[in-house]
Amino acid sequence: CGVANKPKGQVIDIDAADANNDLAGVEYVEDIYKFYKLVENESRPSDYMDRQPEINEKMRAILVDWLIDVHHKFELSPETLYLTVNIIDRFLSVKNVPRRELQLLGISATLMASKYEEIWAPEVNDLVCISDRAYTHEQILVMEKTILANLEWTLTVPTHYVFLARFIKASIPEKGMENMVYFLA
Amino acid sequence: MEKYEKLEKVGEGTYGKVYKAKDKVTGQIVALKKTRLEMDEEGVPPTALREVSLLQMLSQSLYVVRLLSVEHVDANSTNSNLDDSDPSKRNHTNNKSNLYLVFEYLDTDLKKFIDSHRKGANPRPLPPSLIQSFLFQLCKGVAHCHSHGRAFTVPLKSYTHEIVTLWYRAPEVLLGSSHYSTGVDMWSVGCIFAEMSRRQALFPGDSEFQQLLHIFRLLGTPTEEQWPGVTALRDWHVYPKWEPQNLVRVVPSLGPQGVDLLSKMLKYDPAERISAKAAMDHPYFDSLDKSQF
Repeated sequence: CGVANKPKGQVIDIDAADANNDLAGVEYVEDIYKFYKLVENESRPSDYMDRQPEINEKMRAILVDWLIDVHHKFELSPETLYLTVNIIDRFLSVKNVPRRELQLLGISATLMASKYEEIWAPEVNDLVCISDRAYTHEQILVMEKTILANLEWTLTVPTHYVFLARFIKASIPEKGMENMVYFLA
Repeated sequence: MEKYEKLEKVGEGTYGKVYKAKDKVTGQIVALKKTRLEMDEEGVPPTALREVSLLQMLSQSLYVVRLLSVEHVDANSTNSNLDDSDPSKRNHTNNKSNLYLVFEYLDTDLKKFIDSHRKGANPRPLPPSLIQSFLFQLCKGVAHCHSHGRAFTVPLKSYTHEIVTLWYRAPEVLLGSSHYSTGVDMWSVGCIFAEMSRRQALFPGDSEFQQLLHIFRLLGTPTEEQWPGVTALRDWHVYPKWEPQNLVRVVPSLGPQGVDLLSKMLKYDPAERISAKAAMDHPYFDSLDKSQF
């Protein structure tokens, strides 16, 4: 596609400014993204909607919109949101879920993603409340276990977020555009 | 877990027990790490979630112990299932459950190996070439973990500070820094490097405070010039001012290159500490045939 032929001189080292910031992990950043790219397909959900008897794209969209609200209410980090949606999609790729349990899947995925990403995850009882007691405390925990078993405990995946963060760093250093990019994704 | 026949207990820690076991069907020998999961109100603990998930990814490397499978078993052995609408099986809260991590079986580890050279019928130092080879493989494993990300994120976030066995814990963690990085692992590697040479731990503290004093007595009490920002860390206090000692005195058999590499792993300022990748190119390894790894 011509990318390989680009003259070397045009490549700007986007990490130069962070060379002395050990928290930016500059030394390993290329290796890390090479690896993300390598495993991207393993953690990518399949096109599952046709195989789900009770749910469709519209329902998923409603669920994700609601989860974004939940996510704002608990002030969770963006990584958590992207991981939540990744968990939902991967689970739906391997298991059929009845319509009445779709929201339950969303809540348990939020719980797991928060435990993985956040220093303080929301409490299960708060999740029960925010979903207007549609599901019990037990149901959320049982679903958590079911998800873990089906995903073989693999939550360490490159979500859209990690690629976006990198692309943004490599492109426009402007906050408005950055927010727009995360919104569209 | 009926798949496995437990052969013997090979280890025990605060986390639970480790068994040598045999797969009844294939005959494969495995290590079963049994962890009691304190399933409280909040379900699976975040620590378990992260540890297992990261291990799943990292254990694809030759230099990281291989995780073969994960089995989550309830004490009352109901397996939760989506289609399982029987309400009696949904009563899970406060149940004890066990997490079994099934690993490849390895018949020894570095600690046992060092012990075998320290005590017993024939105490003797580890041959220098062996220390060199072990350290290289250790660096290789650590470099693998660091270059596969998500043991930290880029950029790194702040985490809780109770990590790593006390003796191998980096000073920035002991001093309560919330933003730590890959340097904490290199500190640990340095401690292990010294321990292979000494056959005893470099900083055997029995409390976080004692641990810091062990470090300060050998490397000198850190100063702002050496480590900018150290006195602003959360748990910094005024400590006695010790002068740095010569490292050769604690690891006389390492030789000048070995001591130089060790001193770069034990730099106070995490930003100055050598990385695993850079360590692999240090002159200490010049005499090693790296092609074998």
